[in-house]
This record gives sequence, C-alpha cells and structure tokens, in this order.
Amino acid sequence: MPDPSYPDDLLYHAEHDWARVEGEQATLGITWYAQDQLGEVVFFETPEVGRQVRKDEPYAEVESVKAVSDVISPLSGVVVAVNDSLKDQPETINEDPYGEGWLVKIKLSDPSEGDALMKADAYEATLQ
Amino acid sequence: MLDDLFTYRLADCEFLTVTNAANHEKDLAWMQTQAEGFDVDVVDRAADFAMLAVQGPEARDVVTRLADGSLPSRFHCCERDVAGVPALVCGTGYTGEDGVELLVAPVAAAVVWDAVVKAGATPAGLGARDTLRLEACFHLYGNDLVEDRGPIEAGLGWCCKEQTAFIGSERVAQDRAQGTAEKLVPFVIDGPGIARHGNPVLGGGVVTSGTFSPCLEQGIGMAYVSAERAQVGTRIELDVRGTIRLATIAQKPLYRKER
Repeated sequence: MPDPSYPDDLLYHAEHDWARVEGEQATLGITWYAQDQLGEVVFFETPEVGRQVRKDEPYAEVESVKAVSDVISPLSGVVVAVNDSLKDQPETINEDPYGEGWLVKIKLSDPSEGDALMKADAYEATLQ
Repeated sequence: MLDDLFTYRLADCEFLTVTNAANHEKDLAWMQTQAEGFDVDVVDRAADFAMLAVQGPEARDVVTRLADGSLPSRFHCCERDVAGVPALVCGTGYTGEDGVELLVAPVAAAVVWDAVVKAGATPAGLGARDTLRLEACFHLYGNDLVEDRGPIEAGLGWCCKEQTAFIGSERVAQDRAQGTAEKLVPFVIDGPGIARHGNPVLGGGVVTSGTFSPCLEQGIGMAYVSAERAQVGTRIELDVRGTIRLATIAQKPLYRKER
C-alpha cells in the first residue's frame, strides 16, 4: 500500500472523497484515508453511465471484507465514464487511490459547487 | 441456544468453560441457577485468563519452539510453560486451520504475544478471523445462533446427545424426529457482490453471516431457509440492500485447506 498522500491538484469532500476538476468534467475517487480505513477493497459496483449524481449524496458502494461504505459524490453531474477495471481488480483503489483507482468521471451540472470543497491542506487538517 | 462454547476437562471433576465475552454474565448466571442442589461450585474465572489463538499451518511449530513440552492433540488440552509463562494449551480454534489456543494470566499475555510474534506468527484481527470461520462454516453466536433457534435447525445435531438427557434434550429430540421449518445453510454468491448479516432471502429466510472469502474470491455466507429448499445446489435470491443477488446453497465447509 502507498504512503499517505493528499495531492494538491485535487478538491476534497469531508466524507473522504476527492475530485479532479478539468473544465466541465471531474474525475472522482476516495482518499488515501478512506481506503486505509476500509482495508483491502474486495468489491466495487460501478454505477451506470448516464446516472445522475448529486453533491453530498451516495452514488456507489465500496466494500472491504470488514465493511460496506457509501461513496459520496463531492459534486453534482452525470456519469460519463466508469472505471471498469475495478470490477476485476477492486484492490487498485487501495494501491493507487488517486490514479488507476479512480471511480467515475462526471460531467458537472454546476461547476461552482467546487468552491465549497476543501483544498488538500484543509482536508488533511480534518484528519488530525 | 443460549451460547456456543468450549468446555475443557482439566481433571476428573474440574472443567473450564470459555464463554463468548458478550454472553459471559448470562452464561454464568444460568450455570449457577442450574447448579443449585448439586455438589458443584461454579466459579467466575473470566478475569483470570487472557486467550491467544495461534492458528494456521505453522502454528504448532511456532508454539512448540516456545513450549517446555509437546503440544496437545486436537480437542485436548494440557499445562505447559510457553515463553516461560504458565499456560493452558488447548488444541482448539475457530479458524478451520490447525493450531492451538493459549490461556494465560492477563498480566503475562503481552509477553506471550511478543514471543509468539517474534517466533513467526502474524497478528490478525477480527476481520480475518471472521472470513476464516465462515469459510469453515463455523457458527458465530449472535449471528447464526440466537436464543430462539435450536441446534438441529442450525446443523449442530452432531454435538447433541439426547440420551444423556441434557437440559433441552426433549426439544432437540423432537426437532430431530419431526424436522424443523428452517435450516441453516452455507451459500456462495454466483456473481459479484457480498451479502451481509440481516439481508433477506426472497421467499423466506435471512442471511445470518456474510463476507467476501479471500480463498474462494467470492461472496459467501450462511442463511436460514425453509427446510424444503435447503438442499445443496438449490438457487436462492438474496436482497442485498435492494439489489437481488443469486446464490447457490453449498456443501459444508465452503473451503477446506489442501492437505
């Protein structure tokens, strides 16, 4: 498992989710802290492309041996891509939570929502 | 069923029972009530022992290196010094693997822990223990066994000897003769997904334990289903938080170690 990290180019939600905003699209995932708390992820059911997601609401579930956890969307929009490789290798979420372990890409319905999210240092401060 | 526990015979007329921690007070009170009128002392020894389970294919080798004598065989126990600490060494466990359980004075438990880890054991928590016991189809009290279920429907008839006239034996004999409405069965989920404790079985029944099996790389579990559809190979549908998952009733144990 990688060392703890909270990249500066991401925005963070208090429920331990991250967003990488690029224009009108964002890639979403869970933070290093979230995957560490869960332990080895053994199941991630990808949501369907076209599905609406809403800021602060669950859009998927991630399961470890120990627990099932909702994945909360940090932003609102429509799912335009899902990381299908997680079906067979959900542990990628542990191994590379900000890279190959991304969960979905969404087309943002309200890019200004990103203003309410935290920068890396503010999020990291919530974990102390 | 009030609890599911092991009792070790220490001497002809001396027994040590290891209760589930959550049931300890209830079990103690029940035993004290039953003991009235008999020439028997029921003593609460819970605070006198810590228990370390050393389990796995190399567990006996690890403990043997620390012990001052040979280890007991399966389902036997004996007193040994382990890492210099007096211990009751028991050939038991809750993992489906070989190994021993060590009962030591709480104040000495850390010394034994450190010695066992230094000798090659890897610490493992409750999550690991739960996947192992479920792969082996060992019941967990509070999940698979509860007060309003009996041993026959839970598949525990092998530990009931009605001819000894134990408390509850009449009901057990009746259940064995007439059958029970439901039976506890192990299952394997056909596709992806993991059922959990409390998920309903469509058409009647409930999942009592569920997890992801690291050995089988599938969702596994146990569920009470109606006796008519408790046969191995029967397909059942589980309501996993609104998603229907197909599962197949399987043979016990779900995983058996390669020998």
